[in-house]
Amino acid sequence: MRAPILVAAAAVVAVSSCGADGPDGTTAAQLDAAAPLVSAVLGQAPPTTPPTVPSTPAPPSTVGDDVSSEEPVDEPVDEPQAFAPNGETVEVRALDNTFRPETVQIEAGTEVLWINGGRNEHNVIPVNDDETWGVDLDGFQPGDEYTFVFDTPGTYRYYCTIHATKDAGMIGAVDVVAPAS
Amino acid sequence: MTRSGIMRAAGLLLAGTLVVAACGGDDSSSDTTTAATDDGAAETTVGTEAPASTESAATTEATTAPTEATDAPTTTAGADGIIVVPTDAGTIQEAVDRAVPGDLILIEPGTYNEAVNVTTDELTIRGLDRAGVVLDGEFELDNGVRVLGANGVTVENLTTQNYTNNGVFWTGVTGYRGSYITAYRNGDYGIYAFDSVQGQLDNSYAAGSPDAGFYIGQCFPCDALIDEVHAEHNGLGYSGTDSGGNLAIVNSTFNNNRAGVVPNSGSYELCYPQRQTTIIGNLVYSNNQPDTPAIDVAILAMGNGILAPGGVANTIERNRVWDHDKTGIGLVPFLEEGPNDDLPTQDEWDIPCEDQRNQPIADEIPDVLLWEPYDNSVVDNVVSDSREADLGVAGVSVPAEDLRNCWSANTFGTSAPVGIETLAPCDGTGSGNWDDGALNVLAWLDEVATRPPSVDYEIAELPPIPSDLPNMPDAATAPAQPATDVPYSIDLASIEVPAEPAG
Repeated sequence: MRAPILVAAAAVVAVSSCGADGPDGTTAAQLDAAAPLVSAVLGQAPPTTPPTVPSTPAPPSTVGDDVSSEEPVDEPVDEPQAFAPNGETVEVRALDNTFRPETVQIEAGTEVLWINGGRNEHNVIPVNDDETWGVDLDGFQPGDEYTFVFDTPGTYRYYCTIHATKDAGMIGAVDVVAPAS
Repeated sequence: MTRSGIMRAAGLLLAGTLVVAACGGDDSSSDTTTAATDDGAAETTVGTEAPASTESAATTEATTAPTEATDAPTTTAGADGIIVVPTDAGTIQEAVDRAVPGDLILIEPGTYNEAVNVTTDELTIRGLDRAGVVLDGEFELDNGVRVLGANGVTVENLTTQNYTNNGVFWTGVTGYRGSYITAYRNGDYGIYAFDSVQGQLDNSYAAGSPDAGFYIGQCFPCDALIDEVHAEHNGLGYSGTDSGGNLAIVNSTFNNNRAGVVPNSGSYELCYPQRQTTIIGNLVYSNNQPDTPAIDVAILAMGNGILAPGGVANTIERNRVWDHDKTGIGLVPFLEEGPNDDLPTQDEWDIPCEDQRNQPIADEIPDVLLWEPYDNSVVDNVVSDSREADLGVAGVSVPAEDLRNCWSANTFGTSAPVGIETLAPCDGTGSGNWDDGALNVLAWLDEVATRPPSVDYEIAELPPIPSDLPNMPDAATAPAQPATDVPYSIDLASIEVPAEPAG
């Protein structure tokens, strides 16, 4: 059992625990730590290789081109389309030791807010090592928050390295779809 | 295990310098498991027959076949299904990675600086000598053995120490067993079973963890048994958040922790509330230890023997409890700040964990939750030398008299409120004044700031690992025994109040 508090409304304020920094009590330092990640994401390209981003079909060869179809064609590869932030936020709670809900489906441009609502330390680490979002233990102690805007469609799997492997235990996924319109 | 396997293991036995002396320990586990009875929930733990004595079992074929999940086994274990570390595999992890369900991994004496992850079902991971096979995290590695979603894994007869998190950790499994394990100076829990069912922890020892020495949490029904374990100098001897349902803690000793046996409710794990845990026949004493590592709640709960903060429908019987600064057996509310859901209604208390976990959280979540202790039964315990009350109860959002707890046939000196067995007997109608000598749990909050702070688990002064901890019988020759048949049945009705230890 981690840091619960036995009793009493009268003493709520007086009692501190490792969970005392509730979702609204995230410290400035914690927010500062997360800020570079958030701002970096907001202004930059999507994760380098989202694990299961739907691949865009390669464009067909242009009829009548002089280039032989058997030779490599140095055509631009379509990058997954990124969408601007839409101001929406979806919440995921990191309990001990479960992400609730384990899977969220959002439209690209939506922010996901993770709250460590447990009494244990956790982290949020992408399964795909090439992705650069996520938060480590130091930034995700009980009561801490972490946000990330997913601007590119794809499925982003993640896990807590303490309480899971990449595919078992405390795992989660963000399923990002293109906006409806 | 085939006969060739036995011979091979026997050869190991002769080769190991520490092995021979270590084997042939007592076989108390088989002595403590008997046929189940059908006398009601408080009397019976549903389980399976314990296996026959390991000596005879060693001459039979292993009974566990690989599961269907295994395609074309590619084990490099011998034909006998045994992988010996380090002879056959250089590390425990390598052996685990090679193994297929049903295999037995035998670890020779030595120190292994590994954090072992197990994701294969039905392995038996066994040290050849409990004290001589040491998994040491050197305060850098996280878990000695971590079993993630692998069903039926047994870990037995070894020591895990100096891990930043847990000595042995199962999560998300059906079937687990930890036997003859020593977990010493680990940074979170000693032996930790989370979100797992059908398990057993027995004949094990845990000391020096800031959270609990032994933990079974987030399960209902758990179908689990803790038997013949010893926890000392932890933050909590036993903790079980949101667990219960055919979960029994018996024949064990919890002493010199900050607090002894502490099942509790909280929305920071799923499957709330904590409910229906049976605590019978334990020695619980001197849980006021000021110099242990301790999480915050352990400091807050300090000085209590058996404490059920927000616990529901627990059965606490025939324990011997003494020498506590607060209560010997206390039923108290649990205040949870920053919860993740609202309180379940009482008609939701019987929802199995697998169903409750999929329910949506409340639209509006309160700032705090008060989990009150309801429907607990405290019977036939022997409780003494408690500085506040041998038996105590308190309610905050609900008056204590409305919580439906009861007390009968205990041997005790003091209670809060006074005359607790008259106020709320288990076998009749109560009467009296609930305000007379009521338990003042609010004062505990005020005292927290003055209590001794946690001591870093890396440097906390601990008693040495007891030299008489038994080895599992026939470690070198017993067949693989994956946790496909646990918990073993136990006759709860036959358990008596244990005698005080000598001295």
